[in-house]
Amino acid sequence: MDDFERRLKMLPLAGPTEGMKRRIFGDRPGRLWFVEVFRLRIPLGWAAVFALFAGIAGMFGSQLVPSKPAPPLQPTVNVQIIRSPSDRNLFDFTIPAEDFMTGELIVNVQAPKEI
Amino acid sequence: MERVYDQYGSQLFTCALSVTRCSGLAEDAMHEAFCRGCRLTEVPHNLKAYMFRSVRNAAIDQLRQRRKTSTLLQDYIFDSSAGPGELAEQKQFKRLVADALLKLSKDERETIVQHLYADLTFQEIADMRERSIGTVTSWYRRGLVKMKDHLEV
Repeated sequence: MDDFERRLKMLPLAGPTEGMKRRIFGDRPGRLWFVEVFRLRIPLGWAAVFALFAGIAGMFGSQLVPSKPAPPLQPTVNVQIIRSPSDRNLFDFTIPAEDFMTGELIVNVQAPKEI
Repeated sequence: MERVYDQYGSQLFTCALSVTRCSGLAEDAMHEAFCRGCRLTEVPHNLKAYMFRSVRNAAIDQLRQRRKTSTLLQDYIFDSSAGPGELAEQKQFKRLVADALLKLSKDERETIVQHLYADLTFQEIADMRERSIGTVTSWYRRGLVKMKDHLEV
């Protein structure tokens, strides 16, 4: 390209009007950001390398975070009433009753096992 | 199709304008070509070349249909509105180039516009016009020589 061609090329061109694109394609709603992300063409090799590094970073990152102390283990308490003269369920407190826990009460406390 | 418009829209418009010399007709040609392109069931092998050919054909059709009613642009394909920094000398040069282009033969003029202003390669122009690359190059060179003579460069 010589100087003359370069000089010709520098001249400003008339462009289409602002509404030209809308006239052809109409008003379209804007695409969602994740649709745009998926439209990007990323080489598969690069994506695999990125995923590998993200995995390694995640693995090391998880080791740096101090783990929370586990809550203290609670004992299990089993309460049982035997030889009760009443037929009803003595543990049903929704029904008003005159007698209260008649019979023999067996309480069994089971300590949790440390793992 | 929208991506083609975003990428080559202004170049396609310049090509259409070089044929019609009227921005309204050039826009009509673009509209027609893109509508035709949207209706395609199969994407052509070379979509860019297809769209340039389609816009050119639509522009020729537009010109044939409405030649009498359209008003022709004074500055041909160039922006007629003077920019804030545009000197009188530059404006004069623009007008002279437009005149020089209009004095060329149709083939020479179109080739210069397509190569210089629409950034098409000689091979792309040759494919679009269905001519040999040698013919296209000679149109371009001959046109440039005529323009230099006209502008006394």
